[in-house]
Amino acid sequence: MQSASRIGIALSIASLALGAAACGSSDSSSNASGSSGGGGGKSSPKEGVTSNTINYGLIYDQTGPQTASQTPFAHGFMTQIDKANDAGGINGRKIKLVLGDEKGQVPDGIAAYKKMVSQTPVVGITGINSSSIQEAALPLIEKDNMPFVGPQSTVKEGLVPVHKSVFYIVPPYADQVDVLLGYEQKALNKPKPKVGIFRLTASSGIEVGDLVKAAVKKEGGSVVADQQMDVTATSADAQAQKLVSAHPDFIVVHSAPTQSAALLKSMQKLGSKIPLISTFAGGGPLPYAAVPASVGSTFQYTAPTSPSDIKTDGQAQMEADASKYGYSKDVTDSAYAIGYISGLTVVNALENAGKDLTRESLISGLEKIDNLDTGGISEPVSYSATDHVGLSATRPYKYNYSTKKFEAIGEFSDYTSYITHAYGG
Amino acid sequence: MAAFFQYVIGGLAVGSIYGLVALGFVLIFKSTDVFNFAQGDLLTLGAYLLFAGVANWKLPMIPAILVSLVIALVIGVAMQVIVFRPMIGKPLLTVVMVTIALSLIIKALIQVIFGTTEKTLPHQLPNDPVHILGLKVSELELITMGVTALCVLAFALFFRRSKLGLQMRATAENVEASMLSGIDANRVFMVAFGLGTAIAALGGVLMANLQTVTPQLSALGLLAFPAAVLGGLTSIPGAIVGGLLIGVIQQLATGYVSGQSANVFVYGVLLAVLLIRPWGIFGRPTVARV
Repeated sequence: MQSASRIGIALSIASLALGAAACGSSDSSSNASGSSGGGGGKSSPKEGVTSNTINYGLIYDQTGPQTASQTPFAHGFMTQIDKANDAGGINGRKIKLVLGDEKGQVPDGIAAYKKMVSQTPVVGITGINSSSIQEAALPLIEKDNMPFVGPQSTVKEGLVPVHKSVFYIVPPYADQVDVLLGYEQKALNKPKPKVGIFRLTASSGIEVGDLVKAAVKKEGGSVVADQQMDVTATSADAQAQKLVSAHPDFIVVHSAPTQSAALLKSMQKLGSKIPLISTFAGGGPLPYAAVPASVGSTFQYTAPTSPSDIKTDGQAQMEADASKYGYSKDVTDSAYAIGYISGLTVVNALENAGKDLTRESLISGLEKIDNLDTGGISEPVSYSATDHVGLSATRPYKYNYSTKKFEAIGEFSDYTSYITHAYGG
Repeated sequence: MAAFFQYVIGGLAVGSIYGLVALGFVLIFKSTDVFNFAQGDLLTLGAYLLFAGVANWKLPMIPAILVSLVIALVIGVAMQVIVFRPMIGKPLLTVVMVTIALSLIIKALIQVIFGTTEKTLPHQLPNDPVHILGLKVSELELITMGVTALCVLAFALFFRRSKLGLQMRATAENVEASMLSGIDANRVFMVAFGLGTAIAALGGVLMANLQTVTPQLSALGLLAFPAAVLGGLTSIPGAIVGGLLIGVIQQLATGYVSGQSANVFVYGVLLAVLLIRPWGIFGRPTVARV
């Protein structure tokens, strides 16, 4: 009896504590919404802004299966933040990055996001690059009116319809697929191509697969093989075998660099010379480093930004900044360039938001960005109230094993006519 | 039909690596009764040691492989002397927890020393296709299967013909009796751990050439456990056969069903075999006298 009553008391106390915590968190979130929705409300530590610091969140895969592409992205972003802080910060405030590890898992990504809403509040977040995690986080981001800027992947759910606080840098998969299909059809002279697809089992893989099938059907072509690979898998032998045996004219790849590398190794084992073209997600140095030139020369990828091998004023600056802040090893990766542009965009938006910095004013600051010059690394970044995709242009790249440098195939403007803007904008 | 045999070839190659890691696991378990949960991470360690050899120390491939194996052997011996020798006589659960802790420590150390991003070897073993009976087999797959076959032969000869091998077999049968016979059991345990670690590292060396060098290789190493259980926890040829079976089942499932279904088939077969033969395919039922 005594122990039963003690258990009862303990349960009651626990229930009260949980109730208090729930009330406390809803209070803090409503306060956050209240202050950010106030339209000109004052800066608040509840939104990560103090008199001398701006807390800004960066969530990326630090220890999971997608670190190969997400770490260079994060380093590019950090470069711009370090640069802004060295120049005195934003309106007298230094930017303090609050880092979160999504580990490639939805629960970890959501937990990292929730911490940044109330536990260690931030005024905005960049990252959540994995499409599955992003899709799970978007309802929360909307509810919290949290400015969410420039992740590596642009998911359809974040664009259709346009969400008030969600701003992308990378063109949506619809635009990337338009360019890579149009490019390969023209390059191979295959107006009605037979296409193979190799994609991740993540939600972006489903999106890309559906886009490719619809686009190929519209052209009168056919999808002859559609193979999927898990993000944690490291062998693509079985998938490569099925793709090769279907005899496609070319293969569209949507994966992380690790899976692109695995696919190329499997294609090498099979002696295949079928051209492969990847979305931005699957490109970068890793796939080319994994195989010899005879195999790597069959692989190209599209990206909205250029690696530092391609010399422009902006590239030279990016290289100098990377060297200064200790990220030289990452600077040849397009993912680093995306992070660098995302960082530039966020810094610019924070400046536009003014001294009275809130989540709401940061959203306004983002929408004010018009033709933000990246020095030739990409096309200029622009947003509007109805268009929350900063870059609309993308182009293919290849790797030259002789010169050990990446090369662009044409100019961004060569491919704008292929883009049908299926998601608007 | 050609597709079926192509999947089988691919499965035999990757299964050879599972078999090697399982062989190391069985070697340690058979000699010392230690169920080493860190065995998969020793595969990853081998891959990173090879990376250090070719990328950082700029060694040619073969010397880098030999250096990696020697370092792994020394690490295995050190593990036995520092961690497991003091655990002799301790409860089984305690020893299991120690191996789990070791697994986490190895994982963390690899990430601290080498970072978390994937790496590729600056130069690799040849991987171009060879045509055999209408099938495409890569040079690397042939090397992997050949190395595994050599290891099995070498261990068979070692255990049957060498004095140390006989001592290890005797110790595995009965530690007390072997000590009474004058066998240095501590030395046997050291050799078992050294060889078991080196064998797992050899699997990592081959995997680093087959795939990329990444902390995620530990997940592949985990398949050594079902391979060892399937083959029989105390059977050395069983470990290899178990690994080959796991590899083939994986490839066939991925090819004919989907990548996500591979584990369902692997563990489904394991479950079915253990229901019929709980001691594994090549294992022997233990008989206790009451």
